[in-house]
Amino acid sequence: MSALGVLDAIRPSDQVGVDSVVRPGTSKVSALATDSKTQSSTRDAVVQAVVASMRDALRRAIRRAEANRTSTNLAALIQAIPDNDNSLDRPGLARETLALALARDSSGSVLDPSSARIAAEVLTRIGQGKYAYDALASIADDETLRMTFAAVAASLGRYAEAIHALEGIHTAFADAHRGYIAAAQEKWSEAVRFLRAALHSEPDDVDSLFNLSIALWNLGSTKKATRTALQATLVSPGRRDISFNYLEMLLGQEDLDRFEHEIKRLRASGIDSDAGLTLFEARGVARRGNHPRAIALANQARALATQNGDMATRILVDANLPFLKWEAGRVTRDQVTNHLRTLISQYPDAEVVLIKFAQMASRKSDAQLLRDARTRVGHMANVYNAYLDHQIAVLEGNAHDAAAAASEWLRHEPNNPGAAAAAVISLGIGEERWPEAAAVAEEALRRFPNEKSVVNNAAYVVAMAGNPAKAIAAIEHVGSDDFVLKATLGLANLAAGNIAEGMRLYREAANQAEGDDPSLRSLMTAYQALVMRQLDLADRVPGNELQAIALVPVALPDDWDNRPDFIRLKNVADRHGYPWPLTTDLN
Amino acid sequence: MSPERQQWVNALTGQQLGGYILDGYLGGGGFGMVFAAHHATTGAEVAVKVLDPSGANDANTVADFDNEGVLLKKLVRRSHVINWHETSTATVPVTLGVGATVATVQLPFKYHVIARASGVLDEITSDPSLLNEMDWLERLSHWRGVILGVHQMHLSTVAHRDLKAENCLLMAGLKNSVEIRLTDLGRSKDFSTPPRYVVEEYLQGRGDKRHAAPECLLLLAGSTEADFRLADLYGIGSVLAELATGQSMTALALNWQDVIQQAMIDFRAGIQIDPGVLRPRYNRAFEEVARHVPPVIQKEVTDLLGQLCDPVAADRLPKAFGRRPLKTDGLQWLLRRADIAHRRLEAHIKQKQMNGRKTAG
Repeated sequence: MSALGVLDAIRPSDQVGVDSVVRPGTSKVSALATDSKTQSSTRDAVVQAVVASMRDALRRAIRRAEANRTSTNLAALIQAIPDNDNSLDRPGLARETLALALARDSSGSVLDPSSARIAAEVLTRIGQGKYAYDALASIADDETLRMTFAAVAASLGRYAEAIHALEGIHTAFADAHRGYIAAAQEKWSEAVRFLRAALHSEPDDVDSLFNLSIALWNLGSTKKATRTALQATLVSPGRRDISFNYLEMLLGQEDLDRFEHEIKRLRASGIDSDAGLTLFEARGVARRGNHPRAIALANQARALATQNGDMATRILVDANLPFLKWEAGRVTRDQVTNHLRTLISQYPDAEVVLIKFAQMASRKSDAQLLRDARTRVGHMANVYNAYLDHQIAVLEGNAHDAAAAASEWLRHEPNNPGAAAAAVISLGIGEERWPEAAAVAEEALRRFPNEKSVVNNAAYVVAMAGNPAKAIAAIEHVGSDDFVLKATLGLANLAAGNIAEGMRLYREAANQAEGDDPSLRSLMTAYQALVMRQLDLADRVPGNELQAIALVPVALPDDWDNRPDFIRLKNVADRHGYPWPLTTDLN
Repeated sequence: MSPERQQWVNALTGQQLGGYILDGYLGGGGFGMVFAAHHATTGAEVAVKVLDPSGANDANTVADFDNEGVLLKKLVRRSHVINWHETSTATVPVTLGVGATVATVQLPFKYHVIARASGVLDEITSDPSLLNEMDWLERLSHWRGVILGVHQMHLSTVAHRDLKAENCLLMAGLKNSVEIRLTDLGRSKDFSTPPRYVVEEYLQGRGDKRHAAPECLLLLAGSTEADFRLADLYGIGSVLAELATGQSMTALALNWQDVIQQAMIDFRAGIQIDPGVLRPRYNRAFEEVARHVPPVIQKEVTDLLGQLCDPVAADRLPKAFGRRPLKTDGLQWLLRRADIAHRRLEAHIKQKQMNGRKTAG
């Protein structure tokens, strides 16, 4: 997000968030898909024999449960039924197991706690955790079942009850659960503390390693997070979620060399047909600037996802592909936005489509669609909520809400330069809370000295807050070839009292911008007019002289009141009682 | 029982195989049907295990059945392994089919004649109401019987490879005692003989996946004598878990289907997983088992389980002064440790009884 071209390419970091954390010990297999055609017949024969022996195990379990329908035999049966086998009533059998297992024996103890635990895990896995929750809620005298209840309650988002159930249990597993629960609530520091305690006793606990990497990432310790993510991949090299988490972190840090090395390693180990991995490769190639190759890979990922029935990845590709095409200059921003509108109606509950649309929406009229789509998607991580709050507020021209949401978003994603840029602009330009905005801006400059959008917005704010020299230095560090940065450099010069130089830079920037989009000249002129007033230039330079060197007034675009960047300026102008449209005539 | 199995049972009940008359069906596994039988002349009561004809066309099944006969014969003088009398083939007329399609045909049946047991340990472990009634001294005695059976087998260079309560028969012993005898040796292996199959055939081990050692689930099982011995140690630990909870160690520790699914993917990709990564899950399961064990022997039992069921097979053997036990001693070391746990519990119970008497006095 920059002061000009408000909503360009800001977004929450991809998928390293609360939704990624996994419940300890219960994670389903999400393995990377390999291309069976490339494997030897011996390996195929071994795999076929294993599949046959799993079927034997299921047959045996059925036979035993039929012969003696006890909770023990039923628990063995529900454990032997594959997730994709609908020929047996697994939910019904799991409920029956739980009911039988929770009966009391002659001593008053739970009859079969281990089978009850297995049944509760199966019920949770198949989306019937509420049944297990109800059944286990009143069991207080069995430690195994208290821990099971904690896991079930946590899976249902009933964190307080889960924590309560774990009280007095001092095991690595309990700590792993406490860490997971804290992470699920985005209490990252607490999560780190518990997960480290769990890993102290169980250093190879892959779920805790995974969750710890996410917690560290969200605390801003990106290097430690990535090291932990790498450790998790070494412990469990074939697990998809873990490999993807590591790749996401490498990509998030722009560590493209290690990212490509990891992709190569995964490819070398025979993982050829995984749609998700191919999409990652596309994203990496795009970061390298090779958009044609990225588009080809994304199409390949889409085909693989369709072939493998991997709907989640297919939606991900559908939501990302138009961006790649836009970045390659093959489609316009409006085309991308229209495509995403269609996707929203096609996949109304797909979070990724909503976020992508929020990223591209650039008209006030899009705000309502965002609001409606958000309602349909339902529960989302706090970071996404903050991001959407910000985007909606910006689109609607609500500076106060935009500033609050941007600050919240930055709190959740201190590593995301987009969040920093948004907070700086919302607090500064939108709300004119210059000292507060300058503090955020200086921290952003320290963290992201090479991120142009951050440098631009921070320099704007720092200059307006009274430190134009720092602003000029920050822009000169990254260079001012870009017209947005050039205009901001002009502003900083105006603030420093270098009026002629500042105006010259503005003119150059406006000429450059006009080539991109004629309406940008209008926006830039309005910005300049605002700044001239905010800096009280009329007190220092005679009005006529100022007007002569300022940008020539340009009419507002017809749809200015549907454009958030103009709406923001109009609101600031109204706040001060400046005329609208803003002009460089200060008399 | 499947309709097909039922048909064979009906056809065979009352038939005479060799010198034995089949009285009634007792139960069966994947390829064997076990009948209560008696000797036609002496009246001696035995059990006859008949190869299910449905499996008789499968070379591996037949090989397993024949292998069982050979190994039972080899172990005939060993205690705590089921007593074997003979292995043979008999051709008898059987009537098959229903309605108009009924026909009587002469068919050959392979069978083993073995001692008849009074029950199976699994009948208790799979029924929590019965298991909870069994005191821990008895459970440890049964477990000791399992160890002794495997010990005897290992001394005869045979690995069982499918240890579970279901394969532990209960036989009447001396002085009204109940004795464990291991059975179902179809998947067993005489490790003094060279491997029968190529290395890949051994990767997943043999036997029920729900009871399988983690190296078998991860497709990392080996074909050496040491591999077979270590997998049996896991099986012994798993039977202890069954005696405590009703569930096998594998079922307690893992969602074994997930582990296998992942292992197949890793195997195809040429990735070898370190079984040590499963330790956290096993440690949780050991804690779960410990909650079922009397506090006085909780530590011994947890330590033993932690050792026997260590996901890293090589760590299942004890080390004394940095040395592993000698093979020729079999499982003496484990028997000693089981005895210590048994004696500690016995002493504790006696002490409690004495304290109770004193209080009453």
